[in-house]
Amino acid sequence: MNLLAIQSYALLDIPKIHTDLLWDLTLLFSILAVVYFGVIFFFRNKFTSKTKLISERKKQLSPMISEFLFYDTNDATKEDHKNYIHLKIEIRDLIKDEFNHQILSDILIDLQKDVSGETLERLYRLFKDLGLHNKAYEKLESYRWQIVSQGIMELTQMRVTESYEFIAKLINDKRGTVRKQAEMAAVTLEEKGIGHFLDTTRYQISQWQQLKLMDILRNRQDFQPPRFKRWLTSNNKAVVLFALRLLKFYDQNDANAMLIQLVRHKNKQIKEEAISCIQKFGVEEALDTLKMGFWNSNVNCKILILDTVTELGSEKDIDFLQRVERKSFNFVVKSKALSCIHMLQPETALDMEGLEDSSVESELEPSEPLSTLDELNLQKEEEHLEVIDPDPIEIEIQEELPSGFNVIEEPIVVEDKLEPETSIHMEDLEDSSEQLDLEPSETLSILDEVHLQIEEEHLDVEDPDPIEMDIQEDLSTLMNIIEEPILVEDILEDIAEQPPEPYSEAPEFEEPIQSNNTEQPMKEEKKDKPVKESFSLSMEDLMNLEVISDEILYSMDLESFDKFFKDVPDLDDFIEIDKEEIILKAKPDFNGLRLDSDRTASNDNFYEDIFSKKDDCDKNILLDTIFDVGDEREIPILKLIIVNEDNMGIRDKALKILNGISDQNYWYSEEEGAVLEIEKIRARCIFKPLFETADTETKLVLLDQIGIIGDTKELIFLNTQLITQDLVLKKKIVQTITQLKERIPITTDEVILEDDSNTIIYDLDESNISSGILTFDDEIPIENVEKMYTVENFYNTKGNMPLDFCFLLEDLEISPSQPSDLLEVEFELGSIKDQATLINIENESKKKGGITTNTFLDQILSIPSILKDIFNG
Amino acid sequence: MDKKKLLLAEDDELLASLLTFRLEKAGYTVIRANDGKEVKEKLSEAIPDIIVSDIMMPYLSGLELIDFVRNQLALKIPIIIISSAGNEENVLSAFELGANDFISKPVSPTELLVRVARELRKV
Repeated sequence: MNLLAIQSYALLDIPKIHTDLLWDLTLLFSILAVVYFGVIFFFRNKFTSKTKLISERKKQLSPMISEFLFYDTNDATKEDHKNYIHLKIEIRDLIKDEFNHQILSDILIDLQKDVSGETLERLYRLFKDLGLHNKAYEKLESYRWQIVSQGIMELTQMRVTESYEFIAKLINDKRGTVRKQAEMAAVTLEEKGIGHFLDTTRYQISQWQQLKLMDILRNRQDFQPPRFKRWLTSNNKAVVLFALRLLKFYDQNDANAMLIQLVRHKNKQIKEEAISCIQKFGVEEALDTLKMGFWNSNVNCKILILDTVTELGSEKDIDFLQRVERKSFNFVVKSKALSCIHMLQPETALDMEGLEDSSVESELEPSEPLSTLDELNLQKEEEHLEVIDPDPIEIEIQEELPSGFNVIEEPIVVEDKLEPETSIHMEDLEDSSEQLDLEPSETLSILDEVHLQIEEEHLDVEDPDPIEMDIQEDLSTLMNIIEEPILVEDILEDIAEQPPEPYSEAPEFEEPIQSNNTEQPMKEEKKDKPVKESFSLSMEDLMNLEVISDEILYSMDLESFDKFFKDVPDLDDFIEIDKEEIILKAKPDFNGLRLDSDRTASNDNFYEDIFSKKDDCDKNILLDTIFDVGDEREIPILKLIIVNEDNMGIRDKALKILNGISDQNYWYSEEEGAVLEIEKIRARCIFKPLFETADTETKLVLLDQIGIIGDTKELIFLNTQLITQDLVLKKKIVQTITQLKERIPITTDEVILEDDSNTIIYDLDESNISSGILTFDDEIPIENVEKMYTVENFYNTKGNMPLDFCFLLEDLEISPSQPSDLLEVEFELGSIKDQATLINIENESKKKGGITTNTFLDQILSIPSILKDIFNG
Repeated sequence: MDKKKLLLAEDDELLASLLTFRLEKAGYTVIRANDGKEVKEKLSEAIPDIIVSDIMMPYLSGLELIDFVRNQLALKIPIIIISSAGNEENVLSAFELGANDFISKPVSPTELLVRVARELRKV
């Protein structure tokens, strides 16, 4: 006990430190402080005195320099001449001293910045007369880049032209700073320097360096620039680019043929610069090349090309611009193309989009837009969008009315019946009818029957081309119209007679006219599928596609654009460059999705109308595009593709993309021919509730049964159970999955497992299984499993129950109780013998005076327990 | 004939020394001031025939100097401003405040002499 007390007191005592040691330390730190401050004062005084000395020496030397600079032999008297010679001798003596030499050199270099004219020339001469340039030459030999650079700069600033040969050698120096300094020196010192530099440089020329060099050339007096076209064929791309810029700067328009060639250069900067030169020099011969290269260019280049076409082109280029406007899905390019069209042909039809008709504004609600109408109207709109015909489409409507109505057999042209001032946009139809204050239930039904149904559905006011239609605003007249059959045949003829596209379009661009739909009474059609709903769905989805093309793509940075354009070979394939003429390929193009003609296509018909007509390559590209830029709004389209597609590869890809962009995980069920949510499929699995509550033994039995009678639902469910920590169970699950795979066809290699928090993608390929989560090769005999899972070993099945109880609970429709920790005791079971052994070991260690813990902290922490043990005996 | 007194306000000593030498050689009495404060002191001591001042100076800029001379001292002596090239805004301000002429850096001493002589002839 005494020993322990002493030990604890010893730990609490303050250690004794010798006073001598403290004194020694004080002395040491004092000396260090004195040395430190001494060094600071020494260097401070040294620098101050040096600065003072330099200043004094400058004051001493500057009058002498002034004397030299302004000495004029013609005006000088004998006395002046004598003074001059004395001064020269004196200054030569002074500069023998290294310090004075440096000061004098600095003074002259400083002064050359502040003076100009004849004084500056004298200054240059003085520098060389005094031999100050020799020191700069020596600096060129230094191994330190900063010294070499300083030497080059001094020689350059003081216009030591003799140094050109020495400096020019450094143009290809591996040290960047030296190289750049040498480049500027070469251009500054000699007129031929720029040529030599462009001939010899093997390195890149930075933008800043190009600017500096151009500035030097610009400020160079009496500079006769060489013909820079010489360097347009250089192997160094930077030289070509710089030469193009110099060409433009010095207006050297003798390289038109080469400029046209350079439009096809792979380097974007060179390409852009060449286009810029073409624009500046007005090289009209380049227009065809520019147009051919347009589709392979990035956005910047495209804008430049469009600018150039506008600048140099004529009305014959409008076709090209119109094609650009139609085919491009970049907003900026489209917009630019439109602006170019209007520049070239100011009187061309204005796109009336966004303009309001003030004549009807007072009468009608402004933007209750074109509602569903029917497929007829949709077709009309599509056609209208496609042909960009500014003239309003006049509609004749013919419809067979139900027998309950008084039908006049004679078709009536609506236009003829209407007052001229009642001509309005079709999108305003709804508004006019609202003003009529009809009885909703009756009148609307009538309207439905004559296809002049008033839509509550909102159509986007930005819908490109409003279809104009004549309507009678008076209720009675309207009712007359309602009661009269309205011909659609003429409309269809009108549509068919619309001027064809100036270029041969891909087939899907030409919307087929589905007249058969119009022959059906609207009422019946509405029974099958509400017009409002169908229209809403299709428009919404197609507007989403529009969003992809116009907003998402536009928000991408240029690199993304380039990447995106790379991924779209069809853009390149739009035109085939065949020497002189541009041939438009009549190849289906998925980009049609983004074209106006497809915007109004029904979503339900998307697969038949668009996707199924494409070859596998296009389908893949479309899916890639959806994957890259799509979001959850593409889910309906992807589902359509998965359901309708025969090609398993494309279907799988669509399924993967669907799972990628959706929060839910989907599974394609071949039996049902539908895309189902995995959660729902899993919920359908009858084994699920049993499996969740069963103990391990029961689970093994259930797995056997799943292997025999299970199908896709079970397969999905089992894949979600692979995350179990129980290795034997996991092994059995894998065996069951393999068994199921052999029995049922699997449409995809990948099954997505959804955890509570994470999504795990598990590949069902055997190779991946072996290399991935599980590495079991052999089946486990069930007998062994049974042996392993005795009652004692089921330590981890708390809350689970045997199979009989599982069914009992299900029959009683009660849920199992949650496992409770209430009766869980926080100690481990062990034998008394083991405890006695532990106590003995502890006592022995105590007797030895040792403490079982080692660290100081452990010793402190163990004090209370030791004291407690002591008090307890 | 009395030498014309010229107040040279320039903070760059080397340039000031060079210009002083050249102006003195041309027959002017040059009073040098290295900053705005010194300019005020020199002006309080004696009124020069012409002032040549850098536009950028410590304590008192060239513009403030013009304002001081024209508005506070109410002097009509010619003032030539030395300004760095491209400092157009300051030059215009200087003319608005009453500067007579300006010369841009880098300065040609010969040109300065011509301008000084011209301004003095106008007086």
